[in-house]
Amino acid sequence: MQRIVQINIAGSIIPIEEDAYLLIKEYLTALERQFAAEQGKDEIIQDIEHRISELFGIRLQSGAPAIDRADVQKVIDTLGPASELHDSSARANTSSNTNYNQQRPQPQYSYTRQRLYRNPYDKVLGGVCSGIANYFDIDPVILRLIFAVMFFTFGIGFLAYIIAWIVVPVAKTPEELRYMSGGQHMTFDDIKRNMGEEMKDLKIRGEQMSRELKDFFSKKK
Amino acid sequence: MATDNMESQMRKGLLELCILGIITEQNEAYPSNILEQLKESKLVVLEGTLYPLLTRLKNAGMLSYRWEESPAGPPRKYYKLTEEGTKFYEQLRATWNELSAAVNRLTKAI
Repeated sequence: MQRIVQINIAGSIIPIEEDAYLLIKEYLTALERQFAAEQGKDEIIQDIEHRISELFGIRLQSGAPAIDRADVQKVIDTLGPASELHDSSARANTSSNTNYNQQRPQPQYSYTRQRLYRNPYDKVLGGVCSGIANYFDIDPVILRLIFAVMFFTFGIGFLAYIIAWIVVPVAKTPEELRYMSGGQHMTFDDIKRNMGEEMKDLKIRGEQMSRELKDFFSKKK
Repeated sequence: MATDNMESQMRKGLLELCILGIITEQNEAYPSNILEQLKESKLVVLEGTLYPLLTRLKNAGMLSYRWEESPAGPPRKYYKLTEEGTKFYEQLRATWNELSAAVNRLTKAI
């Protein structure tokens, strides 16, 4: 199942599947990067947005309920990948003179950098360990164990965890979740739970923990 | 030799001239309309290449534009040649005529 979002592109409201939205957004970001040094950058991108909107409009008029990934890909193919659109003369002077058959890298997905976020969908407390584990691509359980040991032996673990909890942002949007997992694609079904639940969750966990701690100390006495 | 690349370089080099030509011919034109004709004559393969060119020509004072509501879809930008643009176009055309005549003369033998 795909979630459909409404986007406003060049003044038209377009229903588009979440997946497809990410793709078109990525394309526009790539274009912005491509034209960053250009004087008329904003205008060029605005014009391209207009064209995208026009093409989406045509697609919707032909009976599609919403724009999907294939539609977006078609539009991108029509317009051309971002790396192909930038100033031909500037590039002709540098690379293509020496190498005529140069293969240009495909821009899609290639620049997805990994970033540190807390993972709200796999967590014990704040999702810090799970986020760090994602970042370094290790098992979160191992990290939790290390933190737990540090917690009890030095007490630094506790402080470090709290600081990380405060400093590291939680991955909220689908894009952030993707950056967190290093470009791995997540469907919107994975992201259904929202922020409000985190607080509720935390409360339950907190209560549970304080109960367990109380049990633990009362047994000791 | 990479024929493809040379051909595409030739096309790219003449694109501005053709854009100015299309707009002159119709007096006023909007991008999708220009694209249709460029695609028909196989001068443009990727639509996105047109927009930077139009903006550059406009910023150089060769083109001006006005917005017009379209019956369907977003409003359209109608481009028109400025006085300077017209002069520029005539000059380019003269150069092209000379050049193509010369090239044809030189390569006729084959």
